[in-house]
Amino acid sequence: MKIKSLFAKPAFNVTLRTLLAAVGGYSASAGLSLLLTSMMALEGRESIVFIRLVFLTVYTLLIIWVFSVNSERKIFTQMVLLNALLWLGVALGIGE
Amino acid sequence: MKGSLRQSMTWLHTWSSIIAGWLLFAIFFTGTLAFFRVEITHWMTPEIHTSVPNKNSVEVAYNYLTENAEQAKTWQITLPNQRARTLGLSWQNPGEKQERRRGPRVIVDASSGEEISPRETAGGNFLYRFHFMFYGLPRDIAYTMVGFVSMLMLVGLISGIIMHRKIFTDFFSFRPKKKLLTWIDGHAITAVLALPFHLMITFSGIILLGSVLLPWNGTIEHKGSNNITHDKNNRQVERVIEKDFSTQPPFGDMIAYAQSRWKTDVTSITITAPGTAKASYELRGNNRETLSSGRSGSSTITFNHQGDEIKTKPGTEASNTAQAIYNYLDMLHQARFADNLTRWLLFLAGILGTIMVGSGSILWAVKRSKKQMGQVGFELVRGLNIGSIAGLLCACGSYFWSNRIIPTELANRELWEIRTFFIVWAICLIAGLIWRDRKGWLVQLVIAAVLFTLIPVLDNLTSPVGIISAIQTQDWFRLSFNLVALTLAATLWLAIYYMLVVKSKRGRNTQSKTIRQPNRKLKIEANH
Repeated sequence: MKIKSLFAKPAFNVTLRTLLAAVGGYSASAGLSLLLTSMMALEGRESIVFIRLVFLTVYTLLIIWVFSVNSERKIFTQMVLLNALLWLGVALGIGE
Repeated sequence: MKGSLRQSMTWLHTWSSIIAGWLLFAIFFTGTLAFFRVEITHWMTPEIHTSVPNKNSVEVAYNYLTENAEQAKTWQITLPNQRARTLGLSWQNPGEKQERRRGPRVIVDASSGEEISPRETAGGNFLYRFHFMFYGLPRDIAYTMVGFVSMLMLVGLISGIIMHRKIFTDFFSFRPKKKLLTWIDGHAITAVLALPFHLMITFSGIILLGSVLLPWNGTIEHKGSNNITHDKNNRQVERVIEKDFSTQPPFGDMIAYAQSRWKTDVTSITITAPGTAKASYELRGNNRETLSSGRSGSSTITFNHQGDEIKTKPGTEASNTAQAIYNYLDMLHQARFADNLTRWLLFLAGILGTIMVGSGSILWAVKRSKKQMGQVGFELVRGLNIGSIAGLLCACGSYFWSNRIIPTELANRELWEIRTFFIVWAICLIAGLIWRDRKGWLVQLVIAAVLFTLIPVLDNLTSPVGIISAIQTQDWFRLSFNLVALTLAATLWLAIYYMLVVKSKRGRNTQSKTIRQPNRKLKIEANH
């Protein structure tokens, strides 16, 4: 099946968006909160609390964002790019 | 999604909420009751209704301890306070390991000094625990489920705010007698009236469950939960120490001094080395000044036997900003700081939240009733709405009834209370799925209404202290419980009246209108 016709199916779109929001959003917020923690050089109890607060705020906003963009392709690309950038940052150890 | 931002947010709001609606209703309802879990447990242990606090309660406690725990190293007295009408006493004997207890070792009548043995009850704690870990499920699974629906709730709240074109105008509009619009307005009013509360309670709730939702991120141990000091001198031979209890310390002066400094009641006294020359008396109160300092934020004052102040210990401060925010949310969510008025306000906000969740689920079904009648998804929602809303009320009512009806000597009677709750709820859920129409609602609402209406009668008949003497001794915990039950019952009767009388009248009117119209048409045609 061609990708174009796949994107025309509402069931596919809803599933894709839900996955992007739930999984993509989770991993992006995890990446961002880890990155910020290492940039701010937080440790121990403080970093645990900080990660929780940042993670939850960002995760909520990302879910809203995924469902607010009209084009599925656009949001798919943006979410993948965002994740790639954030996790690249974590992997390279920016801020450490 | 396709369309404007408002349209896509409406879609997100609808679907994220309807998935979570039923569990959220149960969580909100039991969680709201949990603001008063101590008071609910008070109602559910009628044996302690006899205890009436008075000025001499602390002396009563002291006398009990001198008679029953003379050789103990430390005594702990929990005084009757804003949330308790009994004395809670604990002590630690020499050579005894310090245990972390849920409650005091003995409960003592605050005026007579007699030991009370209350019935085994699941009490308000069952409702409290249910709202974040359900019952009988492994902790991680329950936390994940609660975390998942709370996340949906948070998404629902934010998208719900965005989808409003005119949130300020919507706040003031209520259009009764227009089925769908009435439900929409009711849903929006309960949501907007307590919006800060809804956001706070959802956000802080998820933060508290963080250890399971973010398993890669470690857990936060609460201070005090891990520092149980084990007695190193366990194996030491116990020797009897000569103790002198001939003079009582000036408790009245100590308490008056602490209260004038804190501007709040003293709630507990820890006595170290009682009856010796080194005896010291540490007074605690609900006197924390900042929420960010968390659970151990209260300062203490220590006196010697003569009543001279020998030490003051300030409450601990949060070590950093992130911790301060966490403490803040923790204290807010659990209302650990609240005085009576604030507690009632939080309770009210919780009720609004419960109505918001319930009305949202009903609204979903009302909106689709004409188009989707008979479809599996629609019928499932319609059925589950009955069991999860009216059914939960029946289950809660039965839970309170079972507390007074199950014989006190029955083994594991607290388990039977919990079983009653779940059996009734299961029956209601099944019944709701079978009878999904107005009758299904009516039957369960009537059952819940009857249960709650008769709660004060049940209380009067099954407590050793009648309601009239409860009024005389100002047992407000118990009286408020009965009053809230009556208020809930009145609301339910109102709903039943509305469904039976108002709605059926309106139904008849619209029916007669539709019958009349063709007649008029016929007449017009005849005139032509």
